[in-house]
Amino acid sequence: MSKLRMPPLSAAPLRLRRSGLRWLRRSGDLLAAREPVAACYVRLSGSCGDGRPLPLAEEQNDIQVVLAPNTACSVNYQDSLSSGGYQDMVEGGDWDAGTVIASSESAGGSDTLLPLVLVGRRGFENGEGRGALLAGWHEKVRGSWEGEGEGEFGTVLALGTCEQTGIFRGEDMAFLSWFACAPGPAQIVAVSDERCVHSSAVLLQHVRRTPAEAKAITEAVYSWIGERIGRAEPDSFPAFQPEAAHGILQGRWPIAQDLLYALHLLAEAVGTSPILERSEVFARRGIVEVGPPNAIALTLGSEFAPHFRHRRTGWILAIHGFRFGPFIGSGLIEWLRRDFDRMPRTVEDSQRDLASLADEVRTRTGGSLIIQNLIASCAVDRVSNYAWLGDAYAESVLVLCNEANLMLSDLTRRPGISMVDSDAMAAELGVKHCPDRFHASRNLIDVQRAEFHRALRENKISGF
Amino acid sequence: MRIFAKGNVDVRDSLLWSRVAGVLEWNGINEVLRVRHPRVLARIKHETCTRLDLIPLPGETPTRPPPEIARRLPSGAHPIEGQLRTALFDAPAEVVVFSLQSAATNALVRHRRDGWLLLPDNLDSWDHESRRYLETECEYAGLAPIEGTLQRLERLIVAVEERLGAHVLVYNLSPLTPGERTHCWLGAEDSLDLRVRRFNLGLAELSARLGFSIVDVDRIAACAGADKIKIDLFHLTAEGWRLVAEEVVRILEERGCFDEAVEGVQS
Repeated sequence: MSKLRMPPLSAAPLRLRRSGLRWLRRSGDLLAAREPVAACYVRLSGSCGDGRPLPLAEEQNDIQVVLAPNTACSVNYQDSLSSGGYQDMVEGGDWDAGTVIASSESAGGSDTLLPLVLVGRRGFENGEGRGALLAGWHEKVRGSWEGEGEGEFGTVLALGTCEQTGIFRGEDMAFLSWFACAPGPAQIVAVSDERCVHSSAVLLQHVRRTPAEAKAITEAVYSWIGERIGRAEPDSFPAFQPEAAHGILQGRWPIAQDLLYALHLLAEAVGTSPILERSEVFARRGIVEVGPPNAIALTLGSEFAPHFRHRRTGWILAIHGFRFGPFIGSGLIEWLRRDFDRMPRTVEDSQRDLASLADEVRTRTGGSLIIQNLIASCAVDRVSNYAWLGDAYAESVLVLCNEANLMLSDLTRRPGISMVDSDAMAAELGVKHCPDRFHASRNLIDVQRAEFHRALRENKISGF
Repeated sequence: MRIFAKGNVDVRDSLLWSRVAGVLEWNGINEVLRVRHPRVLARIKHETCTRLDLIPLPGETPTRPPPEIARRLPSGAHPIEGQLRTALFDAPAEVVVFSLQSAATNALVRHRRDGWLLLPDNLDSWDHESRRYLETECEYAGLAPIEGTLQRLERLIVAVEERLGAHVLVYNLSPLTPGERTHCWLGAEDSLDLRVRRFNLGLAELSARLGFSIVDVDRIAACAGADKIKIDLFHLTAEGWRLVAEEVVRILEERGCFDEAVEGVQS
C-alpha cells in the first residue's frame, strides 16, 4: 500500500489556486498507468510585478489539471478531498503539492501523481461552460504534460476537421489517449473548425497576412455589420411576435447569429495564426514558454470544403457546406453571395497551396506538416461503369478522393510533409468503420492515432 | 454464358476456383450463379496474361522467343510459347474479363539482339544454366508504362466490342498489402502501391470514356476489410474471391447479360 500525492506544480511568483478534486473513477477501481483518477480547476492569482501580463491570460477561465498514477494500480481515495457541487469547479485553496489524496496498491512506481494540464481559450469569453473536462466552446484547446521526461516540450497542432477531433482530443475531448501513450514533455493544441475550415489556402493567407490586409478585412466586416444592424425594424424581433407568447420557439433574434458568426470569422482572420503562436505550459520548474508547433496535423478533407474569396480584399474563407442553413443564418449567406466569389478548388490548387504552406512553415518556424488523406472507398458509393456518370465523372467524390490522395503521396517527397494514410487504414479494417468517409469508429480512430504517433516519432518530435 | 477470362490469379481464383495446398477453397462464379441464376451456367475459358499491354490485337504478330528457347527455359505458370499469344478472338464469347494485375506488377526482360520480350516467371526456381542465358542474352525491360498500357487497353476493348460484341469487365487491384503503412514516399517513386492507385484511377477514366465495367476489387477489399480478406497484394481469402465473383455477377445483371443469356436459351 502506498500513498498517492499531489504533484509539484508551480506558477511562481504567482499563486496557483485550485478547486476541490472531482473524482473520475470510483474508489477501489483498477487504473491503468496514466489513467486519470481526478481533476480540478486551477487559476493563477497575484501579479508578475513587472508589468508583464499574467501567464495564460487568455485561458485563465478554463484551466484544469488532471491527475493520474504513473503505474497501474487500484486506488482508494479520501472522500473529504471532494466536496462535490460547485466547489469542484471553483478555485478555493492553494495548490498543495505533496498532499496525500489516495492510497494505492501497485507493483511499484512513484507515489507522486502525474499532471496533465488542460487549457481552453473560449470562443466567447463570457460563455461559461464548466463541468466536464474542457467543457464549453473553445476556439483553441491545449493539453500539456511533462510526464517523467526531460528536455523541451514537443508541440503538435491539430487543425483538421471533425475526423481529427477524435484522433487528437479523443472521445473524452481531453487528450487522455495521448497522455496515456506519449511520454512527454509534450503538448497538443487543437483549433476548432466551427468558424473557418483550415485549408492550405486559408492558412497560407493567414500566416502571410499584413496589418494593412487585416485592416481592410476588418473594415469590410464592420461595413456589413453596419448594414445588417441598420436594417432592423420593430417587426424584426421574433420574441415580440404573437406566436412567441404562445410558447412557440421563436424567441431568438436571428440577425444576432449572423453578426456573431461574422465577428468570429474576423477574430480568427486578424488574430495570430495558430501556426505561429507560442504558448505557455506548466513544468516542474514553473510556467515556461514554448515555441510554435513543431508539427501541424491537417486533413485533405479541408481542401475541398466550399471556399469563398472576398471581392474587394481577397480574404479567403472556407466553410463546411453542412453549416449553411442550420448553423449560418440567411443574412450571412446573402453576404457571401453579394460580396464574395465562390472559389472552385482543384487538386492542383491544393497541391500548390500545401507545398507553399509547407515551405512557409519550415522557413518561419521549422515545423512540418502531417496530412491525413481522404477515405476514398465507401460502402454506398458503388460505381462499376464510370461512363454512366457522364459529365459528373471528373467531379465524382470517388475520383476526387483518389486523385487528391495520389497528389498527397507525391507531395510527401518534399521536405516538411508527411502523410497519414487513413484510406489504407479504413480499407484494412473495412469501410464500415467509416461509412460516410469522415466519421470513424473508435477502432479506426485508435489505429489512425497510432499512425499519427508513429509519424511524430519518426519526425523526431520531442516528447512523443 | 461464355466468358473469356484473360488474367492471372485474381481472375482465375474468383471465376474458376481457388485451391490452397490442394484444398478447394472456392469453386468459382458458378457457385454464385447456381443460387442467383439457376438457368445460367458460365463456361469460362481462362488464359494467363503475361502483360495486359502485350495482348496481341487482331492482325498483330509480336516477335516471340524462338521455339528452341521457349522449350529450353523454365516457364512457371506462364508457358513461354504462349506468352505473347491469345485465343481471345478465336471463338465467340458473351463476356470478356481482363485484369490490371499483370500490367501493374509484371516486369519483363528483352532479348538484346532480337528484341522479343519474355516474362521470366518463378525465377527463383530457374537452374543455373537458364539464369546464365538470361543474364548474357537479355536485359531488363521493366514494368509497363501506365499511360501506354491504358492506351493499349483502349484499343483492345474497342477490338473486343467490334469483333465479339462482348461485354468487357476489367478487374482493378487493391493497392494494400496488409500491415504495410507508409507516411513518406520520398525515394519510393516506383512504389507498387502508388502505381496500382494510378492504374486504378486511369482505369476509371477509361471506363468513363468507353463504358466498360470495372470490377472494383479495391472497393470490395475496403468494404470487407483488407485485413480480413487479403492475404498479400494479389491473393484474397476464399471469402474475398466469393465477394469478387458476386460483384462480377452483379455487374453482369446490371448490364442485362442474364436477360440475353436466357433469351439465347429460349430461342
